[in-house]
Amino acid sequence: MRKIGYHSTSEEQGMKILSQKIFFESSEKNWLGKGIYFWGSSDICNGFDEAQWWAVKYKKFTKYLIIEVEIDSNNFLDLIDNEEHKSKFGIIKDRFIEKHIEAGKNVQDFEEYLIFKIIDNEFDFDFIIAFTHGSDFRYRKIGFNFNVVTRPQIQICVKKHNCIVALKRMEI
Amino acid sequence: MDYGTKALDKLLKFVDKMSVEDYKRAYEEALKDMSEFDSIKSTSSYNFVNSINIDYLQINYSIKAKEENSYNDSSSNLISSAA
Repeated sequence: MRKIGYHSTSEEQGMKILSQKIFFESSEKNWLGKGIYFWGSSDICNGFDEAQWWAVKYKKFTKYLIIEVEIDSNNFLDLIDNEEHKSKFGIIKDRFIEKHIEAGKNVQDFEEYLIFKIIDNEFDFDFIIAFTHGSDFRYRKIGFNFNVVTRPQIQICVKKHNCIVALKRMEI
Repeated sequence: MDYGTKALDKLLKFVDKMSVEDYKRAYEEALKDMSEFDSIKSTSSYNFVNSINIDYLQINYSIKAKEENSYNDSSSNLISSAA
């Protein structure tokens, strides 16, 4: 499967990536586990816009680059378009929640990241793609549950560098 | 069958065999990782904005809780008066 992703970083780091064609942030850990994170696009979100938002609003970079990559691999987990992957992931998540309750923990404290950490330890995925929204993680800790997602984002977590088959600098 | 589907089938077996103690250990390790997430520790300005949002939500939550309590209090008073 081929996917296009966008990665924003400081100008200095971006120039290194472009000259050496290697992403250095490969040890970064986030929602989907260890890997290099890219913003993806669909009919309802734009990966380039999200990359720009990340660089400007979150990272506060005064000088930054956005790099577009083409990702190509058959070792992927697709939690957006692959119905079988989504269905099985849902069953697995329910089983983990059952374990969580058996361990005497509150269901609201369950962390989905645990599943991705185990995936990293036990399997050999090249990339994982999923819809995410940051607000859930931040607010549910204080007892809020949101049903309306105003900013859907696609995140692509690339775990193996060699599935990035092309990259180029984008005009900002 | 594709790689992802095969891996998920194995993961399902993995979780079914997982002991409660193994789960607790894995959960604690996951929490430790999450405290180091790049998107959470990020910039101080991000944390500042984030804390404002949470404070705002907490204030609203307390106001709502107070309103509900006062409603309950007044309704219980009414019930007491009626009795």
